[in-house]
Amino acid sequence: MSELGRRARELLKELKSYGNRDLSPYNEELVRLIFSEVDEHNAQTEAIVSELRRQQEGVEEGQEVDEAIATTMCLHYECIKRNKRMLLIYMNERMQRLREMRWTLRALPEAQKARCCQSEIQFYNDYSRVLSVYMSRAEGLGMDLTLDTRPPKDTFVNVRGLKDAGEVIISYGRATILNGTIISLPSEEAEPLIRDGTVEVVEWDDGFGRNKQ
Amino acid sequence: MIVPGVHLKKVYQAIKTDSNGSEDQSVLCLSACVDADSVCASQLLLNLFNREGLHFSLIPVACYEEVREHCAPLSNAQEVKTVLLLNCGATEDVRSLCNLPSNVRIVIVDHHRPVWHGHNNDDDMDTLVLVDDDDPVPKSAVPVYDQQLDNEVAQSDDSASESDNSDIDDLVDSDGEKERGDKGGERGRKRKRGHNEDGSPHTRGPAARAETAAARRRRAEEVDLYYSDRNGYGKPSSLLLHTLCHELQHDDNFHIWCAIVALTEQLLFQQISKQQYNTWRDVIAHHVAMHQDSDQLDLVQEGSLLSMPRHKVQVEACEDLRLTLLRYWTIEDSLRYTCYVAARLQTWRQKGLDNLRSLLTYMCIPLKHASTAYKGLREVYNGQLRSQLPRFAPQHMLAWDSLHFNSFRLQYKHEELGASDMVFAILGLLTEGEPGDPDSQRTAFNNAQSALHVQRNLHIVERGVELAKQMCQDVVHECGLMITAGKVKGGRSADYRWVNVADSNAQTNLRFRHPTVLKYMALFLRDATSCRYSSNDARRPMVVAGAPDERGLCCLVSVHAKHISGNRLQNNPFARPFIETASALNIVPLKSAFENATYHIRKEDVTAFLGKLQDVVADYRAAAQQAHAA
Repeated sequence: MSELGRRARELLKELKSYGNRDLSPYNEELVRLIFSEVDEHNAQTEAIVSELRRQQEGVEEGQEVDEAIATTMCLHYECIKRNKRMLLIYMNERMQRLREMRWTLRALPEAQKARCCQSEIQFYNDYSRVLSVYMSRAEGLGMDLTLDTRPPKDTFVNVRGLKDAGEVIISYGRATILNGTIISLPSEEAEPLIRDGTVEVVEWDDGFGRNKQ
Repeated sequence: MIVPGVHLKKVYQAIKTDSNGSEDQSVLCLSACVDADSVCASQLLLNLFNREGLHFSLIPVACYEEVREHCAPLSNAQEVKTVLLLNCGATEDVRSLCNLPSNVRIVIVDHHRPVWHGHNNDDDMDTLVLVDDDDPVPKSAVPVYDQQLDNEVAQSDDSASESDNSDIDDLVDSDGEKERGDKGGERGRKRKRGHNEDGSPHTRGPAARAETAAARRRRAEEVDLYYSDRNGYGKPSSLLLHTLCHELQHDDNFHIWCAIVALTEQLLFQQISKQQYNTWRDVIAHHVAMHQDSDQLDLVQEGSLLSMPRHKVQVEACEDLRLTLLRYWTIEDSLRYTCYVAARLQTWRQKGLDNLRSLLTYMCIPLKHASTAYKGLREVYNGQLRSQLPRFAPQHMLAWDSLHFNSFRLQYKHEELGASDMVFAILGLLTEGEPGDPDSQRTAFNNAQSALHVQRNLHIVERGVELAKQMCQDVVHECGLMITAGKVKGGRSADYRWVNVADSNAQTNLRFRHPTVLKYMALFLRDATSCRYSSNDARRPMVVAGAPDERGLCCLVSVHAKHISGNRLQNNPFARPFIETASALNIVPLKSAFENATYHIRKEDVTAFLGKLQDVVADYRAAAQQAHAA
C-alpha cells in the first residue's frame, strides 16, 4: 500500500529540496512512470467494471455488488485522482517559479533553463511575450512593472540593513548600511539592494489613523 | 546651547533647512537602545521625517564608544550635516568626544540628567540640547558655561597641591577629567575645550587675586552642587517630540501612544514622581480626548455580551491596576510577580504565597479562577478584583495608592493593551538582545520598534509580553533566593545595600547582564530588603553588580532610596561615588553608558570596586555630617 503514490511524492520532494525559487531538473522519467501508474490503475478499474458487467448479465436482478470489489474500485479511483493532483501541483509550482523569475530576474538564467522541459521553455517565452506586450508603450501601460519587487507606495521607502555593506552613495548623499540600521532610500535606488538581500523593506504603518491593512 | 521647548519648531525648521541645502541631505540619528523611551522617540521622529520628506539613517547605539565610531566618518565632513542624538549626548561633550567640526550640527534630545553645563552656552549654535521648561532640571538650573572661569578652576586644581577645598578636587572629577580610556587609551573625554592662550598670569594686586580666587571657589561650588544633586531623568524625549508633532499638526493616535508608553516607563521605573507623572499625563489625556473617534465609542454597549471589533486603533484614558501584565497572566501570577506586591508579601516564599491566596480569598475570588488566564475569566471577577482590592489590600500590607494609577489603554479589534503592558512588552524585546553584541542589540531594538505598530505586529507584542513575564518571574525568584541566602550585603543601618549577582546562583541567567533588567532587580531588591527590616526608615539605595558577559564585562547599576515627591528630580546619589571609586582604583570603564549611575567594568575589578565604594560613600557621609554640623 505504501507504494501507491510514492513516485508522485518523490517528485514533489525533489522539487521542494531545491528551495522556494529554483527549479529542479524536469524529471521526465518519473513523470512517465507516474503516467504509467495511472494507466495501470485505470486498466485495473476497467477490468473490474467489465467483469461486473459480465456477471450482471448472467445473474438475477437486484443482486448487490460485492463490498470488496467496490472498495477496490474506490481505491484505484482515489489513487488516480491523487497522482493527477500531485502532477498538477508539480506543474503548477514550476510554472509559478518561472513566472517569478520573469518578474524578479527579468530573464531566465541558463542554469534554470537547462532544467526545464521544452513545454516549460515554450510557456516561459509565451508569458514573457505577453508581459512585454502588456508593459509596452504601443499596446500596454508604457511602464516597466518589473523594476520593483513590490508595488511602490511612495517615492521613498524605509529599509533595514541585513548585513554590513559599508557606505553607499545615493542621490541625496551618503548612507552607511549596517546590520539593523534603518535608512530612508529612494524606491528605485533601494530596489537593487533589496534584490541582492542587503536590505529589506520595513513594514511599518504611517500612524494608527492611517490604516494600511 | 540649551534650547527651551518653545523653540522646538525653530530647531526642526533649522534641521530641514540644513538638510535641504546640503549636498548630503541625510540626517544621521543615533538612538540609545536600552529603554522604551528611546524606541518610542525614534518611532516618533522617523514617522515625522517620513511625512515631511526628510532623509535619515537611524542607528541604535548602546554606549558613547559606538556613538564615536559612527560619527567618525563625519570628522572630515565638508558639507553641512545634522546629527541627531536620542537619549544620549546630553551628559557629555559629544563634539569633542567625536571630534566633529563645526559644520556638523548636533541636536540632542536626551532625558538623562545632568546636562553637561558646557552645553549651556548661548553662543554655541552648533550643538543644541532640547530641554523643556517643565523639565525637572530646566535650563535655569544649569550653570552657564564660562570657559575662562572653568579653565582657571581646572588650572588652579592642577597646580595647587595643598588645596584646602576638597570640592575643587571633586569638581575636577565632575567637570570632565573622567579619563575613561578605551582599549587604545587615547580617548580623552575632557570637557574643557582648550586652555588660555596666554599661559602667564597677569600681574595683579592681592585684593584682585583674592577676588579671583573667591570667584573660582564660588564657581567650583556652584558646579559641584549642580553635578551632585542632578543625577536622574528629565522629561521623556517622546513627550518633547510629541509636542513637536503637535505643533507641526502631524500628531495622531500613534504619536500619542508613543508618548504614553514613554511616560509610563518612567513611572514604572520610578524615574519620576507620581505627581510629575500625573501632571504630564493630564496633558496627554487632553490630546487623547481630541483624537477620540466618536464612531468607535458606540461599538460597545453597556451590559451587552457582544462587543464589536474595533477596526481603527483607539486610545483612551482609564484607571488601571498596577499589576504587572494582568491582561496576559492569571490574577494570582500577576499579583505574585508584581514587584511591589512581591516585595511586600515576599511571594518567593511559601508564607508569602499563602498571604497572597489569603488576599484572594478575602476578595472572594476563587483560587481556581485566580489561576485561570485573565482573558478567559468572566467579567464579574475583573469587577471583583477592582472593587475589593482597595478594601482588603491594606489588611495585607499593600497600599491601594501603589496598586492603581491613571493610565491609558489601546484597543484594536478585540485586543486591549494597557500602557504598562506595552512598556513591559518593549522591555522584554529589548532585553532579548545580547548586551555586548551591537548586532543583537540593534535587532532587538528593531523588534521593539515593530511592536509599536500593533495593527500588523500584535504577534511581536505577544512575544515581548512572554519575554517580560519570564523576566519578572526570574527577578522575583532569583532575587528572593539572594535575600534568603544572605547575598544582599549591608544591614539595617547601612548607607546603602548591594549585591553581586556573580556570587549567587543567578549568575548563569543571561538576563542578568542587561542594564534594564538589573535596574528592575535593583528596585525590587531595594523594596524587598526594606520590607524585611520592617521599620519606617529601612529603605536604602541599592547597588547591583550584574553577571559577566562573554567579554568579561559586568554592569553595575544603582537606584536611589526614597521617592522624592513633587516635580523634583529623583536624584541618584551614586553618580559621583562611582566616578571617585573608579579613579581611586585606576579602574577604566570599558564601556561608557549614557546614564551616570551605570558602569561597565571588568569582572575582576567588581569586588575591589564594591569594597572601595563603601569607603567613598562613608567619606561622603562624614563630609555631609560635617557640613551639617557647621
